[in-house]
Amino acid sequence: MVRLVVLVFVVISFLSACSSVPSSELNDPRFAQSYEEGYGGNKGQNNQLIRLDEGKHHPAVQVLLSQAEEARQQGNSRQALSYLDQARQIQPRNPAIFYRQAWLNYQLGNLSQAQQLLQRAKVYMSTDKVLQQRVSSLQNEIDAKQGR
Amino acid sequence: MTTAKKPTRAVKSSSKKKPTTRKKPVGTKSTKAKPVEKKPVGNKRTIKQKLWSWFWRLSILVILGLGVWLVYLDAQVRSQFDGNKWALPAKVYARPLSLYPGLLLSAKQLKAELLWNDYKAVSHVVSPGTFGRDGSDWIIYRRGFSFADRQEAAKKIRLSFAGGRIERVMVAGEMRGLERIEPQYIGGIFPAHHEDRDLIALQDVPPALVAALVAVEDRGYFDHYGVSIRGILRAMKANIAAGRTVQGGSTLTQQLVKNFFLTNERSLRRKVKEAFMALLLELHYSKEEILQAYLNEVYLGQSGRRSINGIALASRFYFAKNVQQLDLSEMALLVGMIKGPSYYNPFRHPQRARERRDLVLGIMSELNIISRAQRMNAQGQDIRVADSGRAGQREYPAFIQLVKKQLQQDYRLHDLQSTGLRIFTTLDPWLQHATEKSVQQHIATLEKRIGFKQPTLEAAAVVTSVDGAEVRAIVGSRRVRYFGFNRAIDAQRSIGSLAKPAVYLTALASGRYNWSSIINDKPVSVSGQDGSLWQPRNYDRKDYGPVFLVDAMSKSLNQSTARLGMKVGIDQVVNTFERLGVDKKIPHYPSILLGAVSMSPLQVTQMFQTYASGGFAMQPRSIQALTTNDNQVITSYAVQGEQVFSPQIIENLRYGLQQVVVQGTGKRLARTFNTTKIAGKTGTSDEQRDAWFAGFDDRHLAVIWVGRDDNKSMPFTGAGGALPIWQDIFVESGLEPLTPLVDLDWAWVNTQGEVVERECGVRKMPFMPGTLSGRKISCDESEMNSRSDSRIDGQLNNNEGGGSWFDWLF
Repeated sequence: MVRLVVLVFVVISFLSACSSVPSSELNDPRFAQSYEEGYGGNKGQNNQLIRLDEGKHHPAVQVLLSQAEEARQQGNSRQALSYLDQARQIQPRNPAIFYRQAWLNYQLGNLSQAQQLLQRAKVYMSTDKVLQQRVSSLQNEIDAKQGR
Repeated sequence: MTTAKKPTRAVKSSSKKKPTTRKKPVGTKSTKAKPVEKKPVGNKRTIKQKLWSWFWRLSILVILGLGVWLVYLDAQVRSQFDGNKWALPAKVYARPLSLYPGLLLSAKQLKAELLWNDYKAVSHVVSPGTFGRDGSDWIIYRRGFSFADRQEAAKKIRLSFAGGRIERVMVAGEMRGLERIEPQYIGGIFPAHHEDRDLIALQDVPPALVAALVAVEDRGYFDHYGVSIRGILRAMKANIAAGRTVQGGSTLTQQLVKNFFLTNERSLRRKVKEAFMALLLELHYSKEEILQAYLNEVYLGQSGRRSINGIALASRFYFAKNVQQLDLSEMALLVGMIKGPSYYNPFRHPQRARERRDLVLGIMSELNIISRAQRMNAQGQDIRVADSGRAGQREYPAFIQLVKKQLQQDYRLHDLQSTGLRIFTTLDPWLQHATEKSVQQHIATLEKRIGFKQPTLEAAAVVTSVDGAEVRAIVGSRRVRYFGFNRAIDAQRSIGSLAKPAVYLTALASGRYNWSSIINDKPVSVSGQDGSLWQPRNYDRKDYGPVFLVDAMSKSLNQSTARLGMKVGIDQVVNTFERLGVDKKIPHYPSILLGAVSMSPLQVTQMFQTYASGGFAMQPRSIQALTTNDNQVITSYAVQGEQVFSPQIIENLRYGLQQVVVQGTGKRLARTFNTTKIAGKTGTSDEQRDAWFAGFDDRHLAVIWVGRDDNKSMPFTGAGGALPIWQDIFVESGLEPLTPLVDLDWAWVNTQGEVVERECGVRKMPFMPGTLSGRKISCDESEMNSRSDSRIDGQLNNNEGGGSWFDWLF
């Protein structure tokens, strides 16, 4: 009987571990954290973003980041910004999203908007070291462009 | 030329001879008779010739004139009928309902939003626009829709829930990260005639509907060239027999010409013009093109100021269906209503509508468009129409006015009214309904309590998201469907104590004060430049003596706030208002410290948005994206706003705003929501003319105003008049307790506001990070200071820089 109980427990644990929905997703998605990862495992690129959909994110945010990246690659930056803002509305305090909004605005030459968004990324900054590096690096680039 | 002149000369000479010949003797008659006799003959011919000549000239002129007129009509017909035929109003949509794992979504909200979007609850979900339950799962057959960013096909979405949140989103057995329900239509920006329509191609209209239309309105449509003589004669015969007008002889083409190019003027001139234009229309365009235009043009009713035109919109308006989804009975009713949309209005005259529908079905059966069985089946059905005032067809006036106002900063009104733009907005229908309901209920309750017999009170409300300042709901009047004066945007009302947080923020940001600072709440008297005295008193006319700064704010004490404001300086407070994003000139008067400044609820929202967002000044935004009729994105908007205060200072201020709920004028919220993690401030203007409450949780900021249009006083304050409205909105929409922006330092303080050890402290207070070092004193020192009472108001004295002219008065 004890063996049976243990077996059932093990099976349930195994199944729950295999579930494709992480338990964190069942919590408030507004606070689900993103994790930056260098694209293609290239650690040399850690302080620079290559694709908007890099890293691990909440599933809804991941979908929108992929759509943003797709739009960006098609040269439709306005659409890409729109997808990023949709992601921000799902996770309004996710620094990884603010960073991407700032990054894209910087690429488009909107320095003042990039600075405002980067400021928000700093306010809500997580413990993710890669993101911290990236934010700092982008700040340096903005400062350099603005002659500061 | 020479030959033409000869007879003229002859006529002239002969006529001149006339008197001479008459004087001649009779005998000479025979010799002179010839020319004399010839003269009248010659005259007759000449007159005939003249008449013919004039006739032909006139005829040529008439033909030429007619030709020119026809060319003009032709140009008119072609120019208006080619390309964009209609001034298409901008269509305004709410935000789409996004579905993703983890989303907090009640069954009540999901069901309501689907029904408002004209989805039907069914037991088997097999067609787009329907939804149902499968155990605890929800199955939604989402319609195909052109969202602002992409066209998406219809799809069946399965939602699983756990703990009130979405657990899984599945499509065709696969997990999805994000799916959307198409946004609800919430209104339009119409041209002056307020015509609204959804365009539809002829091939998308069910053949039975087209056949019914032709059978009822113009049976010979495919045989005539725009005008039907047979039809006119038949109508004349019928009208003569009846002794009144019972039948029209106009073809479908003529009806289209009348509606599209002409007016309803009843004159022969208009009728002739209509006939010629119909002929020209048939000359240039195919029968199918004309029929398609007719189906899109035809007037089919009125909804408030909005004119319902075209089969597609009418189908959605009356039956909450696409044209393709109409059944036989509904098609027949629509076709029947063309004769008199008001007379056969199925909402107001269901019996008439039914008789008319049955007549149409009879004609369809008679012409073998439908079988006898189909006719009998359709005639046996009741008239079933969707509620005309339902969410999916009603308008949201206050929000539409805000959208229009914000769009007009970048676009011409004419373009908004005529080019068929699609405007995707930030409106959250669930919050909007909660706000409308709460406003209406509470205004009625207040009036009942006061004993007003007539509607006297007015209200306005604005709800935004705290992080992005997206406007989620707005109410501009107790009459929520009223397109009139929008109090949320345009009313300028005294803000009362809603100004106080700006005074305390100025004090906290100066670095000279913290919440444990002591301020003396005793009568204040300030002389103005004109010699007048400003002597504010507390609401309850009591003096509270030395109080903590936080108590002065949470209890909304006037005397101590005025005192503090004068200490920190009016210029500094005005500067704070400006930094907060208040876009109006604030006078540098002492009375502004207690809110003697007028703002609209939207301006107050902008000010409080900075507190709610953690220090970012943002303009409330109602528009998400703008696309053309064929779905090209023109503009999309994203969050914008400069950081004007650090999150540490704002977090510190938010502690004070939370104390309003913990122990101050907003205490009832803590009881209702069983949490104190709500920030807010009540406001009541002089003589209780305005009652305000502005507050936020972790997701939404709401500003509520209650007052009278005649600006008379009311027997309640912000806490009694406006706060209950705020409370009910959040009860309905759900409240998310505030999470801290940053961590503050905390310490115990004694009654003098000094940082002390836990044992002799009376209250735990927050301090700006890094400011506590070296401040803590022992309990013995605290005891000594308490006896000497040296610290009461002492901190203020220590910090006086002599910069404020108020300091010289006391």
